[in-house]
Amino acid sequence: MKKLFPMFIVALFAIAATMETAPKITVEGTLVDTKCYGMASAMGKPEMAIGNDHMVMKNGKMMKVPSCGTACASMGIPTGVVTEDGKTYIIITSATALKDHVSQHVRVTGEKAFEGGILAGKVEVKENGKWKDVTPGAMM
Amino acid sequence: MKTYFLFSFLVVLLYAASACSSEDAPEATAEKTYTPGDSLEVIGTLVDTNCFSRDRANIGVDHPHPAPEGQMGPACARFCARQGFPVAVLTGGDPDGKVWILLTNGQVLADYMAGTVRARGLVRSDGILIPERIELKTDDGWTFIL
Repeated sequence: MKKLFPMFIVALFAIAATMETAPKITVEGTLVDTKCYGMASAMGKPEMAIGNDHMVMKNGKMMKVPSCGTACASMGIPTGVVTEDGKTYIIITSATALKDHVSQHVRVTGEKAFEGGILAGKVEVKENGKWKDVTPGAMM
Repeated sequence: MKTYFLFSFLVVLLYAASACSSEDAPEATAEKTYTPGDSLEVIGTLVDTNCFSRDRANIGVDHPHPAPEGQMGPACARFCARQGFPVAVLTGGDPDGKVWILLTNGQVLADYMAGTVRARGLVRSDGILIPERIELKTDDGWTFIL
């Protein structure tokens, strides 16, 4: 029995390794406010909302809204990562905590959640060629 | 020799149990496809994506707080929404139903977490909706909330 116990433990680990776990992913791209970016994409003009200043329709005219992305994230509108190939991932984290990084180059590591979402474990922003950890502290 | 026989038997038994549990999983069915820009209406429970994605039992307003681990967080869903975590509509009436993340101001919806809502809007992609109108189910019917 004493010989069998360690083997039993090894077998359990082997079984655990075959079990399904949430896939870990890392995505890199531009941090956007997903509502404006989503609406601009629907209009076929995603470039209107890839930066922090967005073009919006007001009184029948297109006008520039400075720091629109930051304002949207401050309100709790989800932030997202737009990758080089144009795919958008909704970041499941506090949007308000990332408001100052909208339009910056970010790298998000976490677990795939739902369709198109990533439960962020780590959020980094590229500054002066180096990655800086800006992971929201609360509830992560 | 006897030990190795028992070990082999144990491994086979564990793999068999593992295979049986996966056979019990519901069969995959042909899923509906959604095209970006399509109009869509979804009805379901308003959940906070932070806690619900970690454990599908976290549907109500009060549920275990992720940090500190396991500590019950009163009104946790409202707290998450107010912090700016995305909110979503869980459809299908059960925890394994389809989830639609709402690209909207979740803070405004914080008071309605765990309520039954009807969201109408445009499909951003499969599972992601840009809502144009959100209503809450009340005793008087559907009440406009956003």
